[in-house]
Amino acid sequence: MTRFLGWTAPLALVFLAGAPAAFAHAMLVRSSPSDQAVVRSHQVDIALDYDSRIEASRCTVKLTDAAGKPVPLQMEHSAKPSELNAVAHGLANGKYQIHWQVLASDGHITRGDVPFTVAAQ
Amino acid sequence: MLWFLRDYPLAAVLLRAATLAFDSLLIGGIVFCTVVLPQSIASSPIFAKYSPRALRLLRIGAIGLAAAQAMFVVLDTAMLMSTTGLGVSELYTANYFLAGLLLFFTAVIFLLTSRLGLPRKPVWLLFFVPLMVATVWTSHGASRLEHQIPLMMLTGLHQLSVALWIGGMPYLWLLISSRAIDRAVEDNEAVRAVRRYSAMSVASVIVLVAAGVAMAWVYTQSWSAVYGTAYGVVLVAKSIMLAAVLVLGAGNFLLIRGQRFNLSPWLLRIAQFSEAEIGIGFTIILAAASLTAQPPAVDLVQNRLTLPEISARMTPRWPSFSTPSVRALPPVQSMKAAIQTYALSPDDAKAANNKMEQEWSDYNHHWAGIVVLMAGLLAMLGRWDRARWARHWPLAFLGLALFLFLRADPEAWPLGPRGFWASFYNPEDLQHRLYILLIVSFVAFEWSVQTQRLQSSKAALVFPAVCALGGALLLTHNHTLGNVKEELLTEMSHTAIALLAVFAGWTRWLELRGSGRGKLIAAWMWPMCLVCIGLVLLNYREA
Repeated sequence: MTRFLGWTAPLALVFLAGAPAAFAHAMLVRSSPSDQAVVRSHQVDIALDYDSRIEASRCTVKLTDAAGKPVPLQMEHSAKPSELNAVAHGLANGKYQIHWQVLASDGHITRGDVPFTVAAQ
Repeated sequence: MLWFLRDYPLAAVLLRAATLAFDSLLIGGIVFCTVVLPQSIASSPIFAKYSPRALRLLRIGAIGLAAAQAMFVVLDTAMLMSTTGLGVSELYTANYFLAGLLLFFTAVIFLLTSRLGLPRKPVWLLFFVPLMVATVWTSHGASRLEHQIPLMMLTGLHQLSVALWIGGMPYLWLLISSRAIDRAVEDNEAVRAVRRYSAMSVASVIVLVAAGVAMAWVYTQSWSAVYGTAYGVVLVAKSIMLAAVLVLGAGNFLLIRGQRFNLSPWLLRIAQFSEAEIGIGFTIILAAASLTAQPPAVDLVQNRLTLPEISARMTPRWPSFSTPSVRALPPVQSMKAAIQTYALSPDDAKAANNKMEQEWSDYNHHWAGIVVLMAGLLAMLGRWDRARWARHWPLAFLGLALFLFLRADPEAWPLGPRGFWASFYNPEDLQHRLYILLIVSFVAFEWSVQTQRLQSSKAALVFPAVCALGGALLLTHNHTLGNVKEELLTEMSHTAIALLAVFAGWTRWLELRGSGRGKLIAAWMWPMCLVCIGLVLLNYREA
């Protein structure tokens, strides 16, 4: 039986190597700004709401401009166990992208992006 | 091969599957040895043979659990450190870290205390408290915003009942197979254990199904979530496999109930059916791991598939046997660009194909369907002595291997500009080459067995084992986080193929290892599964 198992192990590795990606699961259910939103202010309050509890101190939210350069963000405390909050001050008009990564309390890591545009007058 | 280690979501699912499987094996074994085994067995000759084997299996469970959790903690920590800049000192209080340490040290302490011998006293049951706490702590239920405590309790009941039923079954199998020649003496103890295990299993199944249905309702809450989301598709797959295990289990249960006074002659038959139950049961655990790795269907309200969309895709249509030419496919990337694309973002490397690529892929699947369909029909035909020539059916897969070699990688030799040896550096091409090697190896084995050139009973088990394992692994990978409709429709076909492959593997196993009417039924079922896989492939469409 050991020899038999030894034979199938390398075959199992082949299947392992071939299996495409799976995805982990804390999902973004709501965001402010929303996907592709146009914001009419140079100050943007960011709120990311997930479908499950997250460990906020081990999550990241980053903001980049159209050129991919990082933009400073001020993280804010959130009362909800499933939300991340941040504020970006003094954003010039243009396209931006929020990059988020969360650690759900069940140990899964997920990440995503939310693009938006600032068009203040 | 390092690219798949770098694929965090896949690694996380597989490590979660290993955790659940070894956890069940360990808990099931502890309960079996302390509660199910009669105390009087210690003075029976069977115990001398059974005890070291059961202890070895328990230790495999503990070592596997410790290893899986250690790897998961390291993986998650490495991911977080590299992406957030946090250090270990900031991560060691995270839920996953604490739960992982709890599982790891519980398994290690069990290994150390197992030197005292096989667990027999009730105090050993205390081990499953930290084991259950840690796995429930990192379940869907623990992270839900509403009904957290009831969901955690249901999860705990569900996982415990799986551990007692599926996790305990390998120990029952070991007991039955440990009987010596003088079975009249030893069968009494084995029979008592079988009856006690049967009673425990019935209770476990009732709790498992009740808790499972309750959680399924909370996580779906509508039929559209069941048929229209990836979560729902895997849930249905789990339910179908559960039904299959229950059919096998019901056969054993009725036998045990019916043979109140003389169960001994039937112990071997019970063990044979248990093998398939164990195989499919642990496949269900694998599917459960993939369920834990994706959002519950109730949270996916957008982009759900509708019944008309499913019907339009799944309605049988005559397969396409016309292929675009190689020149009509997108231009070939340089090898460096291909490897970089795959290394940096494997999902982009598999991004939505254009129309020509879809037609190319559909053509490939349809011809694969022809091969598998033919193999299944010939396997059925080969059961008649007058059609012994049909027993060469495995050779049909050589055609599939050649077809894959030519068509799976049109950018590589002989159809494309990349050289044969150079294409091995591209991860996708390498994967296809390994598949081809696997198919050729499997053909060599199974053809030798079918034509009786190879008489070894263990060699005959290679085909069903590889078939079942392939189906099980195919079930673990198919998920879409954003519920993109096209990917989900493709996943439905893949899930159907995965289920059929699991059933083909385990019915062929039953045919080889079983006896009586069950063997005859199994002998017809696995070729029919191959035929069905062929039909699914022939109906495969990517748009």
